[in-house]
Amino acid sequence: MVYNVGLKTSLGPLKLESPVMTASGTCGFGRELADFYELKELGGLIVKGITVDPRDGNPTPRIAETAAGLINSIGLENPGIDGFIKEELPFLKTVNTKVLVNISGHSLNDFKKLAAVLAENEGIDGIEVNVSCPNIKGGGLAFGTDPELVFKITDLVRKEYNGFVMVKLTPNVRDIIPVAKSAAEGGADALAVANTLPGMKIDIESRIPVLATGSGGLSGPAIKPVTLRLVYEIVKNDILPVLGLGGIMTADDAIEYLLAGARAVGVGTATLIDPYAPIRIKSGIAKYLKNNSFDHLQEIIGLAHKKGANL
Amino acid sequence: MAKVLSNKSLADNIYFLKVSFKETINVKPGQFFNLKVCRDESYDPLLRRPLSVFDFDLDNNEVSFIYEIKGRGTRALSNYIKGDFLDIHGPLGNGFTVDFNNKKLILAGGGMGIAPLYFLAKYIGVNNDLTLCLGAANKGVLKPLVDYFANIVVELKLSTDDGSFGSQGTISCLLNNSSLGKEVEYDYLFGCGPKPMLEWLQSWMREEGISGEFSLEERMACGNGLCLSCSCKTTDGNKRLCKEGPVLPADEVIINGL
Repeated sequence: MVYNVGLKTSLGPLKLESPVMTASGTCGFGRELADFYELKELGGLIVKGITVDPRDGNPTPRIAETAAGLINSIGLENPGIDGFIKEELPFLKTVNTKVLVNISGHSLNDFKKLAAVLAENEGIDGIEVNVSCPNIKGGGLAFGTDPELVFKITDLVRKEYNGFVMVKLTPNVRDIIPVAKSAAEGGADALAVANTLPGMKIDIESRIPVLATGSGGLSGPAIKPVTLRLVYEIVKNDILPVLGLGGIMTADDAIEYLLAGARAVGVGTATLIDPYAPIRIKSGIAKYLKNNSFDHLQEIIGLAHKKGANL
Repeated sequence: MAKVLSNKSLADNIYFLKVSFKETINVKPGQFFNLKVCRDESYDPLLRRPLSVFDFDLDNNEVSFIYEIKGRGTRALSNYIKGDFLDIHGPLGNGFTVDFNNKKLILAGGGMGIAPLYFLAKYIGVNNDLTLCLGAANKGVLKPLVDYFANIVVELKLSTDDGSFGSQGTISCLLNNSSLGKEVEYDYLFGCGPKPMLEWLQSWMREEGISGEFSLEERMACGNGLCLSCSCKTTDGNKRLCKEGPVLPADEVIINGL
């Protein structure tokens, strides 16, 4: 599709043709979405989280629905780094959009190893470091709440990998600024703000939590105000370029994030309800720019900071 | 989008929904559709609800479903009335194996697992000899479902947990030699129902040396293979019920394997 407005943007050194990316864990490795539209329509694809060894994932039920939200505990089911390189990377090399690989680990060494393997392989445009997965035992969320560990992990990845590095932060902290600064000090190029919030649903008939693991990560419209505010706060502190994500269902939601200062947005849960959601949101952003006489996306980024806010 | 032609109660909390599509669709028995139940700009209930196909009318592009009200989503669905439009994805999933000829086939369904067997029975019943073993909690649930099968020529064996309709017990009481007829050799079995039923079926099929396939259920979000919510462990690795399933070879499924 052709839009008569400029939609190009960037996350630091990573240049994007348009601002809408698909969030990790909601777009597989791109194959399924390629059945619906050309992936070049996306600003980028952030593929399913990869671990060193293959994982079967958590027991089912893995999802529970809550008011305007989804709690998941998939448990990073993935083919492991070797399986990814062998089975998924060849396809990803053929897609004409930016591809970021999300990596998760149980230990510092896992992150180092994953970054090293990805550094040896061509065909990806960067790494998203997941220091905030709530669904794996050991590490996971615990890494992302500790600024020192976030520094160490980012630093290890940076030393192994020369390309684009984005750190995905958890909203589950009292103060996100020290964590964001640690990622910057560790050498990250950008921040993804934010991952899911820990949540629970209980079945009142069986009187036990719905998810087999008891709790999981809440996403969807229910969390948008929380993650939007975190984006605003990080942008205000001028730490690193931000990919804003959390509950984006419509172009209006995405525009709020852009006004809060996000340079690009991630669409996740919405894609699970409508695979075309990222494309619809991109068109909606273009329409908004046109209707409001902006020539380029960049003109609206951060506008909501003019008035300021108590944080 | 699909237009609601009918959405009526068949029994307590059990509904029959029929929709028509404007575009031409082709549906195989055992496939499913993912229905958006919230209206317009509402996000609540957020996720689509996957329903297996109860019946398909190729000439009129009409699909029907039978569903039980289990929570907010299905309750919201039950409020749609004739003339409303539903945002529906599908058909999705692989569906049952249907290329059988002159075979003796068992179709075993428990509770709402009976629903996908109707279209299957219609589809393969013409060229094959079918035995249907259907079970449910009580007459209230089973009778309205069974009534649909009355107009297909098949052998029906029925059971209810409370004995109010057919034999008393689970469908295991229908699948013993004295009930099935000892001399009959069955070629293949299709099963759909709760996990304990499928677990029992799987061991019975192994004992009897009957191969077959199960239509499985799991909490599902996207229906397009993106989220891995509906993974099922098999002897051939994890399968996504929305994509590689919902129908999997009975012998490969590791029930409660994850």
